[in-house]
Amino acid sequence: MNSRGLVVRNLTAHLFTKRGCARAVDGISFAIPPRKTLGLVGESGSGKSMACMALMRLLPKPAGQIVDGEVWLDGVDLLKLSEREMQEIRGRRIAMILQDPTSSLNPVLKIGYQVGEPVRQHENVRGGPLRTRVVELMRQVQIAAPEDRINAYPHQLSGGMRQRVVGAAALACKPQLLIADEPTTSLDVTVQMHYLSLLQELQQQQQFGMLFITHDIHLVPSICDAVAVMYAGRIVEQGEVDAVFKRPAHPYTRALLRAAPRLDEAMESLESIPGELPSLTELGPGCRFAARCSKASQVCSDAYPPDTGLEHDHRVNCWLYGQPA
Amino acid sequence: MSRALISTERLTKTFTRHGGFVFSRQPSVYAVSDINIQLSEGETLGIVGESGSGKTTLARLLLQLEKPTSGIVRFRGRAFGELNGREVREFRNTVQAVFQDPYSSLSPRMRIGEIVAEPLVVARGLRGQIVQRRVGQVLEQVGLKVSTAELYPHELSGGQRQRVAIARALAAAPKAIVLDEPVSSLDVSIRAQVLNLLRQLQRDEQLAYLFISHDLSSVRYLCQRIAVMYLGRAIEEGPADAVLSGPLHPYTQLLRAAALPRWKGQPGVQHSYRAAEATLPSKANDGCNFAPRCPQFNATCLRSAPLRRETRPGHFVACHEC
Repeated sequence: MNSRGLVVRNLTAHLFTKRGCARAVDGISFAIPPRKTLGLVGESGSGKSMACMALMRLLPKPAGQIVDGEVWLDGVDLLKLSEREMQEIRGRRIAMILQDPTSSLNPVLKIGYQVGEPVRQHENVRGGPLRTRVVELMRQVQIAAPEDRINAYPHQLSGGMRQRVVGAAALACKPQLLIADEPTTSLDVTVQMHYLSLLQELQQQQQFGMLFITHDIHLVPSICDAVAVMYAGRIVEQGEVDAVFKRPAHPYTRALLRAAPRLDEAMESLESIPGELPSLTELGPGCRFAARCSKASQVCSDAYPPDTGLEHDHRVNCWLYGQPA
Repeated sequence: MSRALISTERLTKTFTRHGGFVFSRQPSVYAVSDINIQLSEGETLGIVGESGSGKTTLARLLLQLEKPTSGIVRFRGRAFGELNGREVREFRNTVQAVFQDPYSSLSPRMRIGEIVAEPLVVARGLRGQIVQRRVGQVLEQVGLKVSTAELYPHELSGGQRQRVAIARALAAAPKAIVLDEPVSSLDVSIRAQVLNLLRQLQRDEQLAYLFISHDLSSVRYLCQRIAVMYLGRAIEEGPADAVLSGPLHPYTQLLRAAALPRWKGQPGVQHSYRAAEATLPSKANDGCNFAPRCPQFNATCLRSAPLRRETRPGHFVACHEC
């Protein structure tokens, strides 16, 4: 594998629980070229957070295990590295922003200490130079008066500011890839808008690739180049944002796009998807969406549909497109 | 004009913040200040605002779960303090509530049937067959099987629980339901089911809704009128279409811009909006609460709070500049 950026192939991670094996991430493949942003969309329980935990090798132990697959970052398979080597990757080459800034920050440590932590860890910078670097990082994420704020504790900042501090720590060592797992879900809409435009500005300056995980498909076009839609552990459709949003192919993607009310048009009724997500411990051989799909036929519950190419990189897993051979 | 079920006059609620020292009192927070709203029979009113805007406190005041610091809440034109016991019970039957989190709003120790029957038993004093029949009826109305009555909340998914909460609200055949972020904790596909259900019920039963949400799109889907709140004040109010397609207040414009779909690279963010976050409304009448973030503010905005005025019939705004 010589391609640059992140390439994930057939990543499979299962959770072995008392109630059986949950196939949380079941053979997903995607690629993020350098400087590009991929949106990973799915509802709760679709496996999107488990997927990023798996590729960071941070699955909850001992239940979570990577069963199969490859995760290549600039030609290195992360799944083959030792734990020590992986530690060098985390925070330095791949960084993460999680949903809730209150739980990602340690409440008893000062903001400045926490923003500087990756720098201390990976680059062994201390004292005055570290302080200068931290102030600079905080200025970058538009924290006013950073010289004073480095001595503040997380509870003294607002939610939006805390999430910007988390961003500053994540970008401290100039990673090649940023994983943002629902970074704005806990923020108010106007703050969310500000945070997303800040992320994009920083991406322009620092040229990192981004895996942007969200449950809100309507956020995707404003920040992503490509999108992958996940349902019950599998990616059912992926492609360039333009193609997927203008010509959605999978019935689930179509339904997702039409299920949310819109601000710019009056709607008579919303397209709702009947039923609920299937249990991940009791999946049959067929398409996981079949039970809720209006276009389902017999073949859908008998066999999983093949990965079918539509145009350019637009791919879909649905029997409407891939005919049984 | 149809009959007002609930109306408020200069409704205000303050909370006292406690500082570091035991006796050091900090200035009060005006969670809700000077709110005049009216909910008529069969009408749907949306209350929109971000966290800290006071929308939940307003809901609690209207439901009599909180006592106002000043101002009046009226039920069918009569101030709350003047209602006698029978009238208070009538209010409890007429106005029901559905809350945001269906995990904490349903008692884990009660069966679904008992939960849904509770308003009938407690407020109406009904027993036996008639209660069972009504429970079955409302469960079916919200799209659940009658047999759900035998289950406990932990056996249901989030979407099903929220249906149970709606069924409980419907049981006593109310005229109005206060819905406090009823779909915020649900996934998109489930949210659509519940929004469709709410709209259907509203039409079938001629219910009045006070629908509280931070999501402009859901409000537009469900409501005829909307009121936008910012730090305790209603800054704009009017017919949903008018407010959302031609917002007057700079804050409503910002909210709308944030909620409209955008494509990457397309300029959508207004950089003229300064500090990204709201501060706590600690002073009562010193200037407009939005002034610190407003791109159009001037000296007047810092000195005095703008009064609510009617720009077109039924469309109100509180802003010096528009």
